[in-house]
Amino acid sequence: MLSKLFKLSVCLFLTLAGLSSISAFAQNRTITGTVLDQKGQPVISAAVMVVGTKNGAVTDLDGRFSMEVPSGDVKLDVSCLGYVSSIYIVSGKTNTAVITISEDQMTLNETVVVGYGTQKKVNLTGAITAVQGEELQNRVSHSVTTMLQGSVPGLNISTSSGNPGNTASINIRGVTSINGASPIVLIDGAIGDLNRVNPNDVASISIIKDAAAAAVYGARAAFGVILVTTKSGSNSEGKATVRYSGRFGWEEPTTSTDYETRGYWSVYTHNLFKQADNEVYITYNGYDMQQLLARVNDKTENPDRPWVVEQERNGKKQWAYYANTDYWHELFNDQHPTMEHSVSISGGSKGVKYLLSGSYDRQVGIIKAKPDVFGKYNLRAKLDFDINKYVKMSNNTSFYSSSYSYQGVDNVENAIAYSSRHFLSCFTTKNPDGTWLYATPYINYKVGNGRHIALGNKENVNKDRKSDFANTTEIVIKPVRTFWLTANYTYRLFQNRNTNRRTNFVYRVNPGEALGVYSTGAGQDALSESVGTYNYVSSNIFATYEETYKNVHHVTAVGGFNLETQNYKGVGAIGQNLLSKDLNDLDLVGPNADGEVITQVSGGQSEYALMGFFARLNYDYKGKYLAEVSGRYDGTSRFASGSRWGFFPSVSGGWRVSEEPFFAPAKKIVNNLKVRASFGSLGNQNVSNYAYLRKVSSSDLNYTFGEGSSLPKSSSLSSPNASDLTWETSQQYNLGLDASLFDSRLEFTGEVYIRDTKDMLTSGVALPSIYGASSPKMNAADLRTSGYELSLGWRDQVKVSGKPFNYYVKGSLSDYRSEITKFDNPDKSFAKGYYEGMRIGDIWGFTVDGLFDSDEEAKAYTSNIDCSYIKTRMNGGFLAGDLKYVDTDGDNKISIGANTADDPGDRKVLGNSLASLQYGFSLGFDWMGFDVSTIFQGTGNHYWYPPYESMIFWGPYANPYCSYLAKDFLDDVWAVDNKDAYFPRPRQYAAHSGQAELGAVNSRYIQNIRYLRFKNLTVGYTIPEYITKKIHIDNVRVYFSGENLAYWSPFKKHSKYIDPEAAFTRDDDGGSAYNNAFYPWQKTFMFGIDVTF
Amino acid sequence: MKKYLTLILAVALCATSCDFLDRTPKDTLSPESYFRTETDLQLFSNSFYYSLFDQEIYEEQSDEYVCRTLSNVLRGGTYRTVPDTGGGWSWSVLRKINTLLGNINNCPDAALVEEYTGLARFFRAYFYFEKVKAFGDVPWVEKELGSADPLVFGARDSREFVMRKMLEDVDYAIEHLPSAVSVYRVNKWAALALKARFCLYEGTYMKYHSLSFPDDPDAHDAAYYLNQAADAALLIMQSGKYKLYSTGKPNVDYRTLFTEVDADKGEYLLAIKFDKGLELFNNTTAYSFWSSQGSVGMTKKAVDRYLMKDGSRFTDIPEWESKSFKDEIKDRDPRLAQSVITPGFSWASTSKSYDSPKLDETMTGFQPIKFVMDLKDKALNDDVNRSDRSYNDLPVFRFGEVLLNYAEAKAELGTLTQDDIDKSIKLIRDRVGMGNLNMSEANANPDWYLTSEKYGYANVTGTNKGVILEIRRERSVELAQEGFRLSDLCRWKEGKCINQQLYGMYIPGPGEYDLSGDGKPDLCIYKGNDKPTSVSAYIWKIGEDIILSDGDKGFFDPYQKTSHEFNEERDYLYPVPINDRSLNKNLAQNPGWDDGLGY
Repeated sequence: MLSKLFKLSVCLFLTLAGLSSISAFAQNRTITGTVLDQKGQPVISAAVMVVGTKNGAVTDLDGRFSMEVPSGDVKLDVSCLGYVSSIYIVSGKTNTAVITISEDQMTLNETVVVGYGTQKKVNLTGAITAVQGEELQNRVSHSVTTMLQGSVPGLNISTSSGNPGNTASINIRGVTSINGASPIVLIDGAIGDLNRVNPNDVASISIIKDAAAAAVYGARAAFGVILVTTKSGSNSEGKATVRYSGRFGWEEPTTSTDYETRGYWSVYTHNLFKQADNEVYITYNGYDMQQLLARVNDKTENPDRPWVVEQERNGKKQWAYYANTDYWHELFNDQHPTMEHSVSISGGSKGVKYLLSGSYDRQVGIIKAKPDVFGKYNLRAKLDFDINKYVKMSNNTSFYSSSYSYQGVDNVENAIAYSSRHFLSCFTTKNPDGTWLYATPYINYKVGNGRHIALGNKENVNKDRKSDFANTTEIVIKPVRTFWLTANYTYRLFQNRNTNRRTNFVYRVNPGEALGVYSTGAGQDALSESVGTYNYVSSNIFATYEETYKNVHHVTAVGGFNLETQNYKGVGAIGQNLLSKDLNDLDLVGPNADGEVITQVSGGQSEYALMGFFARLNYDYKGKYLAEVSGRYDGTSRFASGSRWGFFPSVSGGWRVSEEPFFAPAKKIVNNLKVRASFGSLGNQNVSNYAYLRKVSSSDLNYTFGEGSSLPKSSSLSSPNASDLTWETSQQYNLGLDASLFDSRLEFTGEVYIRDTKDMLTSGVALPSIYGASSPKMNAADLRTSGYELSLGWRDQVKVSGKPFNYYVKGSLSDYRSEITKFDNPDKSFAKGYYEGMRIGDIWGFTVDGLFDSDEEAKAYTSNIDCSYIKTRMNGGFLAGDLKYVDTDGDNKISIGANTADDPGDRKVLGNSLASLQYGFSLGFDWMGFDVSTIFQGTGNHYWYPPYESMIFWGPYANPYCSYLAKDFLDDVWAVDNKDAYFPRPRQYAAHSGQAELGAVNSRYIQNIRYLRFKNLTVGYTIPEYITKKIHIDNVRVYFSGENLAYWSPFKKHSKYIDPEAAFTRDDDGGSAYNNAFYPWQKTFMFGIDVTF
Repeated sequence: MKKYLTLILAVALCATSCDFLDRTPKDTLSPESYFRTETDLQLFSNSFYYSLFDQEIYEEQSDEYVCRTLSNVLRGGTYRTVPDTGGGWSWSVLRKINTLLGNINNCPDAALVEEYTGLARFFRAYFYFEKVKAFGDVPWVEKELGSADPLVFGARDSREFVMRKMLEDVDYAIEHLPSAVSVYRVNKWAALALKARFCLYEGTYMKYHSLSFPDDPDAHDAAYYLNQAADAALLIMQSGKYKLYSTGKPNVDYRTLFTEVDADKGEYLLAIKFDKGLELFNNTTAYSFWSSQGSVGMTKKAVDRYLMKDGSRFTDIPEWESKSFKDEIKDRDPRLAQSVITPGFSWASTSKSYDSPKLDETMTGFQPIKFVMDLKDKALNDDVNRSDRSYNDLPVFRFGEVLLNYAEAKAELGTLTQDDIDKSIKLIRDRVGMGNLNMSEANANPDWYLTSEKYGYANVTGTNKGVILEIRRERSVELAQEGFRLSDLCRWKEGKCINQQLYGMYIPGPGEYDLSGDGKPDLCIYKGNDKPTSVSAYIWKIGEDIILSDGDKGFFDPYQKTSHEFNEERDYLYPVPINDRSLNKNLAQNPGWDDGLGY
């Protein structure tokens, strides 16, 4: 569709351009004519060109045109959107013409890649959305996965970090299983990684959403299938097409990094929060505070007021720190450059097609002292050739390699997370003598956990490397027109190699003292190297039969066999005390102070095997009644031999109402109308490789018996799982409607579905701790997810200033809800995690009715209503500025009742943590060589209760020592003169437990993180071909593209520092430091050029 | 043709498919073929030892040792809450022990089976002792539980039942564990020491909490446990395998015992090995010498309990309460100067013979040095003076404790004789050059201080009251900072001791004070805004840098605004976590704990 529009606009452009320059041509007659379709109706806006000239016209509302032509016979080239272009000859003897052109069946013949074959889009009976490669071309995000965000209804993409090279996670149709399974991704038929595909290589992506379409992938397809087809060469009669695309730009955080940088307020705030427990964080006295206040407005150090002052205290020389350090920007940059280059060469001649493509993507990250750099290389070579009339072969080789080098401890996120503790703005990263600041007598902790040293000393060198090689050889034997046999074999080798170096933190505490060395934990001098290698082999053999009987019965049958194995082997080694701080090799491991060489090795391997027999039968009658039956019989090594085989059938049907005779009157408006329904059953083997077995493993014990110079070994027996573990199955019902109206200018697709996930592999029952191990996994729970998806698109061409103006508007919308339909928890106890009837994602919490205005009010209220449930850190009890918890059940006591859904105490459902609606829309146009496209994407109501380690949100209510404190945080903190504040009276750790004032989930602090994101803006200009042709270039386009440009969310009101997507993807109640602070989400601005010759 | 092809393919592949899908682990072993050899049994049981390493050995806060921030247990009141999970209610170690016991019959060697059964049952008793101390009644489990086992959702067994089971376990261990001395691996003597410890615990707990089990026909009484404790201790004492560490230097030996890199095999029955090369460290040195680790200090009350060198009581001296640091620590039980820094203190390897407590490193002024490795020159950041860098071995059971347990059990039983004291307390005192404890004198004149509600134990009664108080004093002094204090208070039902004042050293008023005894002031205290000039290391303003209990004079009072409230009705036992009670309604909560659950 798009390409045709494009062609048309080019053609019109050329026509019009031609019209303006025809004067030089000899004119000696005028012809008039009409363009009609096969049914005799006039065709509007058809372009009529005189072949070999730039002379042309456009038909009017009645299909009429008129123009001057040379004398003699002339050839007219007639083209129009939705019709096949044709040449019509007007003899020199006549000046009129009635031209009939035929509808372009190609629109209706558009094919979609499905499992083990292709199908006509109009004949699809399952829920499949196809994305064409061109749609990805303008995008400047760094992976195909993120490019798909917002473009396919029901496809949910989320990113859990802004870290370069971080991969997004993919989900199709919401909660698939409580095990959180993802769809399988097949790249040219073999399991692959969507994040590793060069976007320029993509010809199309099919997202298979329902069971019927996915059934041929049986065992692993329960949660959808994504089929990526890469481009091939084309038969261009020996002429190669070379395409180069280059982009340069920069990235910066989507959120603010403007934290509190004034030492005075940083110290004041944290000590204020400590006061609730009569504690101090930093032992600064009145004099120190005066010194800080004197400097509070100094953006840079004023020579009269140095930021670090040497003083004599407690008999020692000490440094007093009075700085206004912008710690975030001491460590990290906001703007950082990025670039991308890709080249492809394709072509072919009779019997041979080839494609070669390569790309390089380089992102520089945020770390300031020595920036982190992510580099990604892609290479693909594809060759298709005919061995003889009956046999075709193809070979497809791809190679991916990435490397991410960075400073820090273990990983960048660790460095960012731990840097967020204990660096108050009054500190400086270095002492006046140039040594690092790490410990100071004023606080009980280590400044910034020393992460500024790890990020700044340029010795903590880390490199994560990944490579992925895949080769597929395929042979297609087609002895007769109706039958062919396909066999392919894929070998894939992928590897993760990580190098992590740590060195000692060397620092000074007091002036003149010896240097301190922190040499354990994060400061341990050690080099760790690990290699994980995966070998994957997949083989498919399948036969296809396609025939049409009596012109009405169309049958396609596919049947075949699939084998897959993958094995993994890991090797790791750690050595301590290297001989060099700059060189990183295990050969440089040296002795420690006692002369001992400390090394550690680790291994590990695993494998799995899969085998499946699949078949599919399609039948349609006149393209009107459609039916499909498919199924797969699958076996896996992951279950015990009695439980490892499963059969997964599906059936679907469709009715193209628009093809019925009775529909004919409406067909002028509605070109295509199809209803379809499907049902199928799929499996999921989402357990670890040997889950049904109990295993004895051996590892080092961090203990010694004084027997020998290495750590003793210790063995352990894995905790038991149900030994009859078997497939989790998902049964899906899907109902769909496809319609296109107004000459296919308006396209609509709607789907509703129900998916029952049965026998989910889960910890069957939450067991009390006395069990002594994690609860065994068994096939114990059922889940129902139901939802709908809608997409609507309009595209058209109008004239603006006499020039064709193509535009489109597209939108999609999807929603779902999930409920547990079976789980062994008759009491509906929350402690067991799930219960029947539980809606996944519900957030239960207390209701809060504002803050107490006075101590008297608080005392009176709590003497009437027992609020003692909220007791953690409630030193002094409830006071003015504390939360007024509402006794919703009227028992004069704030409680959790029996902690069940039926008796939740004073709690109720405050919201749901799953996005209620996911939507995306895009609009764009092109005109006179300019093209503009925009993409927006967002979610509806979506609730989030900030986890207790989210220091960026809670500030000192989480931990009273955050380095990255929100600017002017106290403006939001209750005080006698600030009673309308959002947060209650200052109390340290108030968010830190389920029974703490803010840690108890409540209505006041639950956040609605719905958002609308301006995902992409692209503005391009294609230089007219008549200019580029002169330098033998087919096409040159320059453009600007921006990704993640802005977002709007009610959540911004309460935190400008957390991207809404970061909120829910990093939600972790486990109290991980990784919520303290993280790599910010990035927006990208790039300028690019595409050249084709 | 295609039909045949498909058929052939299918048949060929089906024939191989069974093998193809059988994939067994290549980096782990199967349990059926394991637990056969001594190596198997040893490797599997090695991890049990991990549960021995309990940091409370040196960092338990109590009324005798405090930190900058009082622990929640010490603060009590609303600072103690019912946790959602954890809080000591963890059972994974028990599961491992029971797993070994359940599979041990794979081993064909009967002697090995008995020895490792003994080892596992030792650790099970050790495990359950911790549970009973914390929770009182706990479920008894002696097999690896299946998920459907009723015991998973069972009720708590009475502590009396559990104690009897522990006795069976420990008696089996005593019978079957090797009797050779082995300081880092459990042997018969460690098992006896465990038995003495938990039997004394239970005997005194029953006695002071007036616990009895009239409905349980098999129940033992307090006397039974006390007798068991005394008998077990006596067996160790009579074995001749253990003796107190002494080189005849009463002013050094006591401390040396705890700072040596390798455990003394004479005194330690079982110790935890630390190793610099293997980077297995404890945190003892940094804990006492890094202000950032909490500025630990011994309380004034604990210091007061040390006798004078001549055996008389410090608290009998007139004006004992208002003595300055220098006078207060003069001529005391030599263990005081080996437990906290006092004038004349020196590190073994340096010639510098005067040192004073670093007042920014200790909340009370009494800076602990027990377990602190030799710092040489502290300013040089010597390798042990860092967080988690000490590698002195730590005791699990030591002979000194065995002797104290023996004397206390006998005293509580009422069967104590001077002869018993001569073979227990006397040995302990001999090492540090202190005179013996005289039982009749002690009983004739019970210490007013140790009897008082303000400073001591109000609950002790009976004819042995005097000697029991003296044995408790000996225990406080000898086992200082070894992690016994809180559990001792629990079994004696003396939790109220936590409510007593947590003071530090006494300051008579503004002025300069010499704490190291070198004639130069180390501390200068002033009031008002005019900071005096002084050579003192610490120049402190009253009310700002230092808070004193009586305004311008008095004791260091770091917790003036900090409540520490022991709840007599609640705090002798820990709460059962909310999640476990939610999952298992048969699990009763301990008295006084409100977890919000309506049952």
